[in-house]
Amino acid sequence: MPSCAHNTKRETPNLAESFLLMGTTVTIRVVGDAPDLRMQESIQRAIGAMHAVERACSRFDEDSALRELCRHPGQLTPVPPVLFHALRIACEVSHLTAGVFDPTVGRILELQGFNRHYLTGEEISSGVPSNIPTSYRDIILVQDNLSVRLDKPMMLDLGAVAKGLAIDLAAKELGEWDGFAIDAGGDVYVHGVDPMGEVWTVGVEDPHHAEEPIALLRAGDMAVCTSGSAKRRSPLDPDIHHLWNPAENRPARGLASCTVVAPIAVLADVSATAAFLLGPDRAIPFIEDIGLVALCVKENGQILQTHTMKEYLT
Amino acid sequence: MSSLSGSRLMGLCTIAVGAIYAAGYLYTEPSITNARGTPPAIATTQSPRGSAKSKTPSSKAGSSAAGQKPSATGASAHTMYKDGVYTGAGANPYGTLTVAVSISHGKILSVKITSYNMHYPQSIIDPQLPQEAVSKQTWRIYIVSGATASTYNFAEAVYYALQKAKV
Repeated sequence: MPSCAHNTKRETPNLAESFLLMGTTVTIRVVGDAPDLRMQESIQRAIGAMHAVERACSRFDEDSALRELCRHPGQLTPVPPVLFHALRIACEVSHLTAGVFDPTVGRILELQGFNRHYLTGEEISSGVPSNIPTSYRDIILVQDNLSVRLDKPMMLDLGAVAKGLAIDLAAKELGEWDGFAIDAGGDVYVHGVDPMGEVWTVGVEDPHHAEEPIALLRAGDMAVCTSGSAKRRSPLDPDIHHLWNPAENRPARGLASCTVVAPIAVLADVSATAAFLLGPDRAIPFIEDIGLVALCVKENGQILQTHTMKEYLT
Repeated sequence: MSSLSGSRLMGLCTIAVGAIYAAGYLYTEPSITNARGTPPAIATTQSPRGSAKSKTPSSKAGSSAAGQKPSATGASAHTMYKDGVYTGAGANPYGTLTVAVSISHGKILSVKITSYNMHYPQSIIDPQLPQEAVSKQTWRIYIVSGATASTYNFAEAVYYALQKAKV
């Protein structure tokens, strides 16, 4: 967590720096034989890429392109590529889950008390009416000129997509290194070798016992993203967490966490959230159907996993 | 094996990352000062890929008047900050931490964690500190995937840094 250089005898030179970003803590570690300064500059570029995604897709920043779009329901509005693609991915997953995943839940989350900017503490109030039901079908995407029309007043929430996209763009900036690991508050991407010169081992947190990982995964380049109910609770009601199932108008139930392995982080991130929302009976079939790898932990502690998971477990 | 829908989703995600990267990053800036009467447009500056990848918008003039005036759209009159780097510290019974907040064009550009000396009891340990937690394992684990970490611990330090940055 702290910024520190690890230069012990056994390790390849590596450097990690941590930031607050997208409502969570982000740590990037790079591995390679280079001066610290070059590592720091590279990490800074990666963080810059993540900030760019945050500035476009945050519902907590009223200057974001997302908020700008939400101020103009009914109008075809040009948006930056990052927002357009984030929405396209979100709508595709909404379609695949028949609306159990839905990016139009922003206002509901806001009313549940998920409404403070993580840095300034400022309370956001979009003023969007909450009595008009919305769904992903009210989002019209026009590919030709990267424009979007929202057919009803709504507040978008792209939390499940934007962080993954940010990780993938940061990874693009770090390609020169022998190895790197990006940890965006528990959503991770690893590439190449770890400081010991081996492929990275990624722990999967046990949602019921955070001190001991429930599984260890090993693979070359991979994203490992987890959706869980443990850490984000409504300040208004501790029984309410941030993963909302609009199809049933309540927080998702049955799973404590769902971890997905995928080649890119945005795919792992959005699939983990969708699987969590689908619940214990449908999570694994959904992940298997889209050809990914998952390990889910039920609220009662039982582990469910795709048959492909064993290829990654150490 | 991946179904058709899985292939399609994978394709969309891959295209997204490639297209956004190729386009460079588009920055949305607070509306321009002369926006009065016109629909609030999304003003953008582009950082073209391949050139020096500075993440600050290119116009230097933007750092003075234009960048610091609150949006003319009436959307808000939110807090503006003085450009610079400001530090803040936080403490609780478990230890201390410090952050460095960078302000550019009157807005928060980044928040770096400059020190972190929290020692929680195992029962509430943050998964961000995996090495200690799993030191008995064969492999060193540098990274753990879990539910999204909260920034609650950092609120105090960021608050003090932003107090210094207020205009």
